[in-house]
Amino acid sequence: MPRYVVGAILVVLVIFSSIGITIIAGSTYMGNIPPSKWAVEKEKMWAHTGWNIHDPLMQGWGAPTLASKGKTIFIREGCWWCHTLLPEQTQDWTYFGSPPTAEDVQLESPSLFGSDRKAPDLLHIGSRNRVKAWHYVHHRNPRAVTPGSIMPAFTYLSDEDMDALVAFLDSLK
Amino acid sequence: MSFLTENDYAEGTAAKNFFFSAIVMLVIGTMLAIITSFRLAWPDIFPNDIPWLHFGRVRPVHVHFVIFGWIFMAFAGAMCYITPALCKTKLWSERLGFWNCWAWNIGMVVVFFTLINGLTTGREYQDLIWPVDIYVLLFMLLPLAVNVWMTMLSRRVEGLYVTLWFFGAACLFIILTYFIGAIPDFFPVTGLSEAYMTWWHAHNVLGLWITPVSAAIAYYIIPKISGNTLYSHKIGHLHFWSIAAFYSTPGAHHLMGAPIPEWLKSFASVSGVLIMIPALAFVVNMLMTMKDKWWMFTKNISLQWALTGVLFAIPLNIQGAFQQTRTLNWYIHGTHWIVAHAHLALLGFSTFIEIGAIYYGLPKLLKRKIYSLKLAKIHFWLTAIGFLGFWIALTGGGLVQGAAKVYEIPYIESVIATHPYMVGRAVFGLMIIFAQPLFLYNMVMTAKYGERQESKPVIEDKIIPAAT
Repeated sequence: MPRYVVGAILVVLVIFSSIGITIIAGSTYMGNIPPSKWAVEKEKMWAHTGWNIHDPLMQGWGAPTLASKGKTIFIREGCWWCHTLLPEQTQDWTYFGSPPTAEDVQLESPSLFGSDRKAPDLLHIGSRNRVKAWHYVHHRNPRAVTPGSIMPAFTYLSDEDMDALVAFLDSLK
Repeated sequence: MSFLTENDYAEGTAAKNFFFSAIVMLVIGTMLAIITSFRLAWPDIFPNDIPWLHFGRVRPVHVHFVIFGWIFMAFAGAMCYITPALCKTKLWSERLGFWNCWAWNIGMVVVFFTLINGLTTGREYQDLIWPVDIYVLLFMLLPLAVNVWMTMLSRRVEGLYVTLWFFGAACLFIILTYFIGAIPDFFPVTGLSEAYMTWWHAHNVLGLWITPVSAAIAYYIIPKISGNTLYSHKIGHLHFWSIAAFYSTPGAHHLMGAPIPEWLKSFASVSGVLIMIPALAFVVNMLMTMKDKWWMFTKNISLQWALTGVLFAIPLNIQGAFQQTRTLNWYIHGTHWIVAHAHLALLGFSTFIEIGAIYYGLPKLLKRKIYSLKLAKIHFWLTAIGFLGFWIALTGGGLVQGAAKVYEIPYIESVIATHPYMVGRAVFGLMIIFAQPLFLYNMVMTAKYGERQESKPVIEDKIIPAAT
């Protein structure tokens, strides 16, 4: 192998690793400290905001919370392609509530802000609509409770999936 | 590495394979859009019991097929064709290029089945799960980059034409961008850091790969077909370096409403406006290259596509520069306006240039004339009119949604108000969708029955004389 190839590979490796290290180190700056005692305590105190990487640590492997299962379904079915979790700073206060703070997404991955809102924002849906029965009916047949809605009718979701999804929505305070 | 460079594959094999695969991906990718666009206009039009026919499942597949399948593979084909031509040499390894193409097609199959089944990271434009990320990096992007770089290193000319700067740099940019964007899939990067990296990646896939490579292709085919020399290499320099400087930093302007630091938003917003510099440098350079040759615009089908793509770059970049500033972003953020803008970039600007490149390069590679110019014209007008109607419908719908946000009417009212726009989008979208199989048919028939013409082998292709 010619030397310049070895050199080029080394250069690329160095660039990759240095960018990786920079970003991981730099990310701590943006309010993303590794799970401190305080963060773990906070997680215990608060109702879960959904799935996060520390869930397994606290719940024990294989025992995720119902709401965290709901978040995986929220991602799997692509709900986030229309429902943002990002009330905007300039408007939205009347209907969708206050914009998120860093704490709203702390330790969440993915953060699911969304980019293409074609449906109501859900960041505070758990405070806005607490009627679980409404959610169950709405997911099976959206146009039965909201005429004019373009939400897909999720007739294929199992009852377990629905329970988890509604638990997740309820956790979004 | 002799097993890679052994010459048992005919010249142009890699490029031909990439071009045909890309066209197939274009057909599939646009077909998938029937499901998404119809679902938004008439939500119960398809059976609701089948998850594969739901909007949330199909949308990412559509996005990945048109971006990773069509645009990326058309780029790869163009790179395998143009790089040797400008270096006056053969492609470093046709064998690597050939297997890269098939690895890519296998990758697209994996992408389809993972995303349609809901196996996704939930991060826009970085939707693929981590094993697929590794596959994309190692078997799709890296072999292409190696092939392009090694061809450039074994060139038989001294100078590098503008196109080659972009190809060489973009191959590095896309690997870095994809790797950095995938970091939250591998490491515990969470919260705002995750959001920022997701959007940094989403921005730079466009900024450091799709935009510069599309431009690089235009830099080759427009002077080549028109017979003019490039208007200015200095403007080319400005374009190249300002892309690297300004297009790599504004990732945060996708998060103007999110609680990321305000200084970061301001920084991203200012560099977002500065993207006007590379964008206008490119447009000016291309339009001035056409000096005295504008009659060819309607006569040559490749030029017609490519120049239309260049013209779409004007509204695209003016929109892009200003819609992300605080002044406008609060109004149009997250509305259909943005979807219209994304299609203007990927379908209007990028796709038009690549289709131009394929109408130019593929018949040359096949040593045949285009089977039916009439069909190519029909393809052009269906796509162009379909796209314009589509874009106007979505932009209008976006403005309606923006107004609804300001007056804070109940959300459902804005959904009902945008229904006609969604119908318009679906109908004009159908025009685009029906045009693409014509393209595939035309190219297959060119390969089979096109009139033979002796074209010079790629290696003797005359390099474009440099102007200063």
